[in-house]
Amino acid sequence: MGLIIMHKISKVYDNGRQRIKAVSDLSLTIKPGEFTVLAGPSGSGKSTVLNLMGGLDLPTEGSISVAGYRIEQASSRTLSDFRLESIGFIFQSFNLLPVLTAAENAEYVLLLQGVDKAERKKRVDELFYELGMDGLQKRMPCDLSGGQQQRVAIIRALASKPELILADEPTASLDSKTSESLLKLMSRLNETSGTTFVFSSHDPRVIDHAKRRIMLEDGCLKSDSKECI
Amino acid sequence: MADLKLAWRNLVRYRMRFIITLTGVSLSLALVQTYHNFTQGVYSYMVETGVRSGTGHMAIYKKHYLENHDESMTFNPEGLISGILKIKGVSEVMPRLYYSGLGQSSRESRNIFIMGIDMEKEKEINPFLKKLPENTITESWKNRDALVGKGLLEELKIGIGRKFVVTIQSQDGGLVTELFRVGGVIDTGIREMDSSIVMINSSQASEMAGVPDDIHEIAVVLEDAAMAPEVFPCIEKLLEESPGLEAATWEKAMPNLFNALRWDYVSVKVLSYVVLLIVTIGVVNTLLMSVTERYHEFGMLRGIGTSPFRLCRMIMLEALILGILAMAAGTAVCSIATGYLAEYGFDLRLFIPENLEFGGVIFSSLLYAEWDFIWMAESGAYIVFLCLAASLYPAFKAARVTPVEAMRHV
Repeated sequence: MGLIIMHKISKVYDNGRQRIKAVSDLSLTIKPGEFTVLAGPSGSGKSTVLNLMGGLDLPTEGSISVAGYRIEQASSRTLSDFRLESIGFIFQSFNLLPVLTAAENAEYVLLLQGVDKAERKKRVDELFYELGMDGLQKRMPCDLSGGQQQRVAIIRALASKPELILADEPTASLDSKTSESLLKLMSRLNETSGTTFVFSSHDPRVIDHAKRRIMLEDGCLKSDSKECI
Repeated sequence: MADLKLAWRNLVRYRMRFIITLTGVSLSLALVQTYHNFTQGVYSYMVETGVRSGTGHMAIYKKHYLENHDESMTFNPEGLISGILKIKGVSEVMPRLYYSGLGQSSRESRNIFIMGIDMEKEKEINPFLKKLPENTITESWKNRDALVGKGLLEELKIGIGRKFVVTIQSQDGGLVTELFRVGGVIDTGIREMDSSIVMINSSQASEMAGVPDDIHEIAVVLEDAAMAPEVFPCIEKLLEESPGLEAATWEKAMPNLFNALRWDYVSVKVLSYVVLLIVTIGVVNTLLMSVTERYHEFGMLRGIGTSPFRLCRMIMLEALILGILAMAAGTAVCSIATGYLAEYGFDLRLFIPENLEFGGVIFSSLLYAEWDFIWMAESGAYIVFLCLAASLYPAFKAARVTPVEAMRHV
């Protein structure tokens, strides 16, 4: 049974002047525990597919089921709940709240979920320690390096123990050394916790870390390494 | 609590903008509250001056006298005055008569307004008589002495100590003339009054009118204006034994003053609300700017599972904090200003060199503010409400953010 089932998905952006087909007739199934990369050049539709998987965007055609939620049929409120309960997002540009400390940012999703304060602190402190960020909890995002900010974003995504973590070019803003350590970390977390990871990238070094590589081109599926396995 | 913390930090994130907005809202509130407290003080002064020189806090007349001021509608207050004085809260009772007549000196004659008063009682209460120099009203006040308006004195071309003739129509229709001596000068500051008023003893006036011991009005002055609701029914009960008489509050007896105050009060209120409404537009602008600048952030927040309701609530919390802070700061500034104005007053001579008349009452050049805690609380709550109302559109805008579109926004 797939955690993510995409069936004949198309996404068209229409700004009134032109229609851009970002994803075309894409069908995919991702099982729980997979460590998958969506690869392809810029404009191939990687981010759009991730957004559709996360319910951030809705398909023009086709159906998507993620963790039992029918994305294209869900209301805005249901999608919010779905993202809160089932998805952890890691964005390219970290997207931390500048007015909150590193720990408060990491705790934010737990706060939305109604987890009590002691439990929030316990989970976040553990992850800070695990990710080599111990002692930086009270720093503001502007006082952290890019790699540290991305780690905070990962902690935020992991803290709520979601079934699925979606990461949009998570290493794009990082240097190669930091990128490497982050990928190892995500890979380790995938193995130890069984969390499903889907991330997008066009960096070959990143793509090599993935167990499953889905290549996209012009919004279409070009290849899927799973089919070769 | 966490939402409150986030709202607060978002609010102070753009520190200068926050300070400017908070200052603007607070000072506007302080201005509105202080202005109101000052006008309340002025109103109280006007009412107090008006009632003491006019009808008192309440007055007794023959029924329908107030409708036409018919000079023939007199009554004998025997027994009534002592009864009213026994009512708790009554400070003084002043019998009065009002006639129009003719004043003549050896050189000029003028239409005059004659007021028959009990000098002993009146001089302790009536602010116009309180202002008289010591040597004008003396202990030897006699029946033939009269207080004459400053303007009238000039028009009649006479001075203190000089004699003049007063002619009125008695109740039987005949003309009655009496000689009076100028015992003092009344300077109310109201030109119309100063050029016509003549105050004489009430007993002399009633005798001239041919109705000895009768009067037109009993002016009742209270120890405290706030006691009027308790005193008025007691007077009405007392009048049950005098069916031809009626009691009237100062509002009814002096409609000019009452309407002037009421009109001014409404104007001040409307102006206050308009000022606060304009402030609201500033708050809307600030919140909208804040929401627009954080558009990307809202997209991210929606992306990680924040519900539209929660986003909406966050913006409204920011407005609520702003409103509460503005209420506290504005009320604090108003308290300092009102405290000063209540203690030391505001000297109108800085702006208006002459006396000013409003609603038939002369302003003192030094006016004092009066605390109105209910209005301060009301306007404070109103500013919080306005801030919340101002946040509705920005909050709605934030709640409607589409995650993927907002995150593309830089």
